[in-house]
Amino acid sequence: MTRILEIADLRVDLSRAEPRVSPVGPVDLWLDAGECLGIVGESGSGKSLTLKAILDLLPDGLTRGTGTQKIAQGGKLVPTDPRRLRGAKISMISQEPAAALDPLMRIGDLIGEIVRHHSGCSWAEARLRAVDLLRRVGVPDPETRARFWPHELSGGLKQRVVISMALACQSDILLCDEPTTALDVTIQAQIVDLLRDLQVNDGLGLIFVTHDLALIRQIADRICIMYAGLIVETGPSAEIFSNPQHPYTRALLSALPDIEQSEGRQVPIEGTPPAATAFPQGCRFAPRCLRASDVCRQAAPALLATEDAQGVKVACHHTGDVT
Amino acid sequence: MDRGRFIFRRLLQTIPLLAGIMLLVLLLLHVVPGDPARAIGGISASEEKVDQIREELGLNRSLPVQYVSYVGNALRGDLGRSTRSGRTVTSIIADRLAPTALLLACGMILSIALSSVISVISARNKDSVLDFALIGVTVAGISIPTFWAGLMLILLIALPTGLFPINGFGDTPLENLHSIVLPALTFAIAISPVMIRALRAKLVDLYRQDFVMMSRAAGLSENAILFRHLSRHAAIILVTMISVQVGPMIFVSVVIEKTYALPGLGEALVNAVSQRDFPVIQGITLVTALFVTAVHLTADIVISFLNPRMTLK
Amino acid sequence: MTDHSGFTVPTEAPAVRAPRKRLPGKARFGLAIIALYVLAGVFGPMLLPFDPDAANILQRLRPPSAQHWLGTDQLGRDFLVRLLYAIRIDLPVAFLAAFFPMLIGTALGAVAGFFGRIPDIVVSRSADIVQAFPVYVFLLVLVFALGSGATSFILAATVIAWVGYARLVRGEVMRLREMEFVAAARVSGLPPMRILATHVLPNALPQTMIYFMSDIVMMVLVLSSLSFLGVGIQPPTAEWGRMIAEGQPFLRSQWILSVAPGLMLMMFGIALSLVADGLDEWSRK
Repeated sequence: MTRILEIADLRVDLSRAEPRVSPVGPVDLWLDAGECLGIVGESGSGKSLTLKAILDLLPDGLTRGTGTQKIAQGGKLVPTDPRRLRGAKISMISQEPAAALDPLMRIGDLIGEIVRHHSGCSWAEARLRAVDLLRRVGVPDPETRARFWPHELSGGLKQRVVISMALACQSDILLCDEPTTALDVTIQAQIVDLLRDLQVNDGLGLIFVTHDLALIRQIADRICIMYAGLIVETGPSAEIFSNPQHPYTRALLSALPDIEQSEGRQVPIEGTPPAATAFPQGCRFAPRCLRASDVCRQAAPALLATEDAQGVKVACHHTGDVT
Repeated sequence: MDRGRFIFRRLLQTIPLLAGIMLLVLLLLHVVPGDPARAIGGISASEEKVDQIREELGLNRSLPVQYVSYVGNALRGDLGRSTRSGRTVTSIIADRLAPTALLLACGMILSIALSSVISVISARNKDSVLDFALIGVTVAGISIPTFWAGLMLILLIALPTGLFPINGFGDTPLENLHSIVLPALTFAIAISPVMIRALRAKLVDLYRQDFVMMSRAAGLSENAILFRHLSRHAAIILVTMISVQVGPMIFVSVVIEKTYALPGLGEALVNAVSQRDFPVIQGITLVTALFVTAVHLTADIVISFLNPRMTLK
Repeated sequence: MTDHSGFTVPTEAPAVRAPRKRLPGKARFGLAIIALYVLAGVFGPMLLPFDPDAANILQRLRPPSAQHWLGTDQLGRDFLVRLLYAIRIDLPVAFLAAFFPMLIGTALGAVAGFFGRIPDIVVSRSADIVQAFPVYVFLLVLVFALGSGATSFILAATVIAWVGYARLVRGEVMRLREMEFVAAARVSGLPPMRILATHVLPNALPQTMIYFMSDIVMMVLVLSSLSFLGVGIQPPTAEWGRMIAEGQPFLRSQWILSVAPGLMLMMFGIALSLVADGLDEWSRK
């Protein structure tokens, strides 16, 4: 597997905080060609911010801290400025498709504009390619639809349009920020199928952020579990689901309703994640962790590979303990 | 087609509106306590004079008759005669149209340009020192009386440099333009602050929108985002603001005409009010009301082209 | 759930009342300035022994001196005293010219927004017709009909300016009408007028107040403009706009005659705008 993206030491800082307050980070990520990396966490875990930070698209009040980003260029990984990756090597789709489409432009023009930006072709050519892209993402009757205004489309179609705009960038990696959260369940499934199709058939690498564990199980090859701005466990999807190591992961999975597992109660996790300005010293999950001990509260655990599981890394002082 | 029907409906709506306006204009005279003819003639006018006025203006007839005859005459272009000079109101209006039109046109162009530039700079540099300075200037600008701004321009620019005339309109088109410069600038100072406030607020809001983030994610440059996406939204705001601000714009132009002694409709109106010349007041008011209605209608039509959701009412 | 190190994780929201928000600094600054104006207007003339209307041709156009701190105007009247007396005209008249429209407009808008149908049609169409007129020209013409001076100005303003309040309040009331607390009140059997007056209107008040502040600024500017044009407050009464007009012929020599009243106007307007902006921020928090 060729590695196409390598991010080290990614942080998101509060712009005006002195001393430094980092709601996210430090975080390391990487992606291989055609792979789907899932980032999972509850609200406030920083997963969306992580994704936005990759392209330096953070909202007002947040800045990207120093960290390196390497992207595959001509077979090698080369350090690149995040802004230059935008629309070139990496593209992005987000949660609310209605908000992502400029309501004052027809969708054919919205897609065409991006096509033109990347290839410099004429408007006529761009419009034709827009129709092709619409067809690729499964929009029925694309020629007619291209003349539509955004508000004339259903939620599912809107999201397909957004995906086609991302495809227009012809990048190798697609960042997906909870793209199905705002959609009906049936539409969700369609969009997920589309993304899988693009991954498998077009070799598109995906970084998929969501809070929905069941969803991530379907789509991701590898998973990162995030809590309070840090990755607490990461590894191949199958391993994580069958043998979760981190207490938080275990709690998440036990809270997950599972048809196959009729035994065992669902155990909700008590409490809420800490605010960035009040991150505890030591392990950030310790206040809610049933296994927390003194060492957990004093020293933050590092993300380390486990001995038994293949490719899994956990950030916990108590790995290897049996529950 | 939705838009066609929308435009047609709007056009239809203006007819009762215009009828109502003409009624109101006629009623204005009768709001005056006492005898309308006396109000026009003045306290010291003789009985014969007052009777003559009553005859000329048909004030002795019933109200509906007066209304119908006024509308009928107006449709034929007859708006009566000035009680001061005896000239037809239509000819007075025709004479004085040019300075007002030129002032409004140049003033609006300048205002739109100024507002657009300042609001973009302010929004793109949000929360910087520059932004605060511009906001401060804008707030101050809202509180500046127009006539005072005009006088300050005269004091600080025209008088020391002698580059611009401080009154009159000139005869040749070149002189006309020359004498409109300071007035148009005053107009922009008066009108821009409100537009800048609205535009800046809209731009700041737009920059927070997801579709801007997505455009950036797709690699579009800031300028591309501004000129191809945001400009449409901004245009809607501008057109709406112009439509809303027509009234104040007209008042501002009246004041400016007086300040710079421009022989336009505004100055004629003020003189007519001082001289109690009712037909002239009536005629100019009607013309301006028509203008305002036309602007509102045009603005609605333009917006229906820009905003695809508007026709779905 | 408490652990031994003292980290307490709350499992339910703490029952703490939000503290009363303070008015932002700019609003307080603006209010201070306005207070200064009021004080100057009330007490200033008492401290200076000049009659603002007493002409003294021999003393005309004098520069500032120990006796006349800001000099005299074109009729020999003490300029500073006239500036202060003008406060007694411009402020109250502008206030009233905004106040009555607010009363009427709010009432009409509330009824139109709450009850809909016929009241709404009547109010909205009337508003349309008034707005179709170039509002300020309408003002000029009304002044013609009613004569110049403070009372006619206030009357004319009331006839025209109620529209802004009506539209604002109508919109707010229509928005609030759909909210649950109104449904709850209806279900409990309260008469509609009561619901409107005691439940709905108070929520529309902040926006109305902010508009009211800006409206006063507008009225001051319009009043002084009309006086500048000669159809507002008549001489010899001291009024800033009129004073600016009277100073215009003397721009070259005694420019202070036109500059000072304008500055007074501007500062008053800025102060009120600051209060309005501050109120706006305060109501959003």
